[in-house]
Amino acid sequence: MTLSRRHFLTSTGLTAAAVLAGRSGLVEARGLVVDTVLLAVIDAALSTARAAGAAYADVRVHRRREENVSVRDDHPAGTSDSERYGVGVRVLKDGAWGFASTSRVDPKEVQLATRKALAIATAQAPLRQRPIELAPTPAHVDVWQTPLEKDPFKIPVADKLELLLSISQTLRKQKVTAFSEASLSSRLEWKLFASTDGALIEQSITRLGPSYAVTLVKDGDFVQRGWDGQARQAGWEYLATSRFVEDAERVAEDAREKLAAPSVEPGRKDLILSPENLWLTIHESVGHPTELDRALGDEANFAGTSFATPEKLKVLQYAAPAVTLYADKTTPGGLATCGYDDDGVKTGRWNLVEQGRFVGYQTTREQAGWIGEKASRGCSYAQDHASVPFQRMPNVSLAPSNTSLGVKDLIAATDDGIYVLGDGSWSIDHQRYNFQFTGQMFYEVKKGKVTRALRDVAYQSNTLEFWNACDLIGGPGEWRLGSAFDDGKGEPMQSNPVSHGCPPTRFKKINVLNTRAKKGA
Amino acid sequence: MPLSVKQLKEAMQQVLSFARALEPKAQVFVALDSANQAHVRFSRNEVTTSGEVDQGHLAVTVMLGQRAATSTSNQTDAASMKALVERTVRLARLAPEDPELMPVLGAEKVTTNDAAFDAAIERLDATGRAALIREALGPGRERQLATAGFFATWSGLIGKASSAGLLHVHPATAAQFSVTARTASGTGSGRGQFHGRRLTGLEPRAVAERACATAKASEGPRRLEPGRYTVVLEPAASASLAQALLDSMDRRAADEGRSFFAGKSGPLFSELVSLSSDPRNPRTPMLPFDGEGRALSAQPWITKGVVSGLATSRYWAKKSGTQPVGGHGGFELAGGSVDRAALIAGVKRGVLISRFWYTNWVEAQNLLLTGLTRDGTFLIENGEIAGPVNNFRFNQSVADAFAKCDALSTDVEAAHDAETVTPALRTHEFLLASVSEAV
Repeated sequence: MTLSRRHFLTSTGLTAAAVLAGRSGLVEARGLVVDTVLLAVIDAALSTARAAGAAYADVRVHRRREENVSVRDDHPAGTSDSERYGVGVRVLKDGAWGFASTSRVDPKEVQLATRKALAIATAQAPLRQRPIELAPTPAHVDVWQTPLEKDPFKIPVADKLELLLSISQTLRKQKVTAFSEASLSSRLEWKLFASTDGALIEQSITRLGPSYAVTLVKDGDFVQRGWDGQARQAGWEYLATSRFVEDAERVAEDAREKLAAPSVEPGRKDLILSPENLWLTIHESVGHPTELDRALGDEANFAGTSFATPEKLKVLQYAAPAVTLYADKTTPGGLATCGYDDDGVKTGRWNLVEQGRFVGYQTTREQAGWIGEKASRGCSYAQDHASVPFQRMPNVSLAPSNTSLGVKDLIAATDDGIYVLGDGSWSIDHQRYNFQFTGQMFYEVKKGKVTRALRDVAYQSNTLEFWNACDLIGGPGEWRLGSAFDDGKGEPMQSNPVSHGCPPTRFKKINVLNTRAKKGA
Repeated sequence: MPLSVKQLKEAMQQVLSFARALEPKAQVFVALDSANQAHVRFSRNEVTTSGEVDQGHLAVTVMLGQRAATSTSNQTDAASMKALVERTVRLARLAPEDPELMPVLGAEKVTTNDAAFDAAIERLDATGRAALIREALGPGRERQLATAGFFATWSGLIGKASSAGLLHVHPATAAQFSVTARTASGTGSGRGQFHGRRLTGLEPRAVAERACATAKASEGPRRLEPGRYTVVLEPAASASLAQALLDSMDRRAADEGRSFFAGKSGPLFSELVSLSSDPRNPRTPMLPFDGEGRALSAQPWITKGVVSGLATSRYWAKKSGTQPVGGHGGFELAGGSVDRAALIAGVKRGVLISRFWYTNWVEAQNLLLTGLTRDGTFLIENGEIAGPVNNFRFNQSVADAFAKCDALSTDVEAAHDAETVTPALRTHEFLLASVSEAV
């Protein structure tokens, strides 16, 4: 049933405040659906928190559904459907946070959880040195959902299996021993957020993750080639535009070429990175370093800190002048795209690196004041009802150049380089300086032409050296998104879905390693 | 509140009944966990977030001949469980046949591992957690070091049941407490940690003291060039390598020719290296059954440098005419015959590594692993610690590292998780491939 914002405000005792803010009357948000139980759940949390003197409280009713369908060689390898549902309550009392959750979406249970959260805040408050303060944000009442044509959960599992088995068959058309794996992961995240500030936000986010890979074995040697495509926030229609099916033959052929390819000669080379490779490098070398909580030490006990500390804002030459890297929680198809974050802040776009200069951070309401900003950037996220919201990465992307350059142009302009396709192994240090990546396919480039495939390639660099060595950026025509379904951060660790867009891009004289060299990579 | 033993058993039986009513001949497997999880996190010497959640996890697998599907949920009321079973049956009916599907397991006797549970963890509340955190915050505040840390507890029941008569319910608890200290100069960092199934032995102040001491000792590192070095790995670092090695030890991958272990026999590692998993080992208190409910026994993986077991699924065991192997929660890398000081004393020039970070496979054929050193890296000269040095990225074959191991410490430590212990170890020609400026 659909209830009005007036009903919501009345039941939580917020009517007067909302009227003062000039936002009385029926909800204007289209389609806001709140049934009576959910309304009572929200009321139980917020009224209990307010009665106990909490300075702030929010409640999230959160449902996650995940369907995974996979095949191995010529048969299914598992069909699973999982669901998590519950309520998380966060209170700010005596200057400290308290959080509790329950999987029973019931007002009495939520009231108990809220009391538990209040007790936790009270117990922890003496261990704070500074009270937590939240940057102000408008109290939004709205609905947001993934634009999609076909709900992937409504596509029969049998159809999905048939599609995957067909791809798997294509991958295994080889003259040597071949193994294949293919999968489709459909994920739905639905959440209803309400806060003592008066926010009431319903969001429904659908994500689709297709993937496959083939492994060839010959004479004690083996190689693997995975599909370059990426997960997307989208409906089933994404598969039609992603070349998921069409690419299978090329991937099978690539694997043969890779198995026969010569090993790379290590040394400094120009790298042309495809979007399906560079996205991961952006993620590690730009996405994580510009998380403010990390820069100030909140992640020191787990993922580390960051070289990009606040005194370097607007000073540090992070990248070459042609490079602009931006955060954007509104990128169409981006896994981190949504209408509002888990603080109830409306999402947007802003620069992290502007014309090579370090200019911005990712923040939440709690963090904005740490660097003198008046408003949050809207980066709060909790993976499920049982997790504490904290700062998580938005989509972070490389802006395309104002040219029509494509990968063919970059190759034509390169004298001695390697063109890298797809993502592989990755690793970066705990302050985000030293990183090392591999890929899926590697092509030698000599005098403006691709000469042959190579294998056993890794590239290793330092974040600032790497980004300042960027000298050619493709135009918007070949700008594409890469994605991570489960980026880990925090303790307890939570996963965050996130995407990164970029065009093909060239980096000068990067250290290339041979991963099978006898003397070591 | 988490479910009681009685409630957990009843819930699993109810799921089996729902399935039986829909598909009397179906084979059904149920896994149900119910737990309370709590945590406190701190950084910059003050608490940041703190929470407590009740978590349930119900997984139902329905097998109709060779057709199968699995559904999971955190809802354990009767109506939700019934709906879950109905959904799973619908999915299973539509699934193509899977030739690798194995029948559910029947009744198996397991002995409860009392060492896996501690009522003190179950009783700990927000006030009790805050008191422990207060102890840990002391050293950092007193010495003007920035400390960050994490304290988490898990207390609950783990259940498995099947339509063939399997029924296990096992209580378990776990606690982890870790502290990272950083110097004001930003050039020193250290870590202390505790992992256990019991609170006994947890001394938060001592954990923090260790972190602070290493942070101070590692402050102001000197430049050391990349290269191949003799290295002494503290237990946290040796655990990373041992875990990676164990993860790669899979019989199917080896039989299919896509593994380092394909076609290999005889000693692959130093005769000092022995790796095993044993549910009854008091140092690695793990559950007596695996994820499918199969009773676990002691499993040697490497005995005096020779591979003595590769993880083998039930399907692959049937196909290859062997026995299922693996599914253990943890392991022990056996200690050696010298103390930690002696490990260092035997090094003319080398590097002492406290722990690794962000390890990831680079090349499966030679077990090439990459990663970084972190939280205390020191130069060893003439058998003594000569001072802190920069961190490194390593690119190292894990197989080579264990082949060239020439000494392990007598003591072992749970530096990885509550079910895993490793000693410090020394190995040679370890490739510290490039400098990391990170501290």
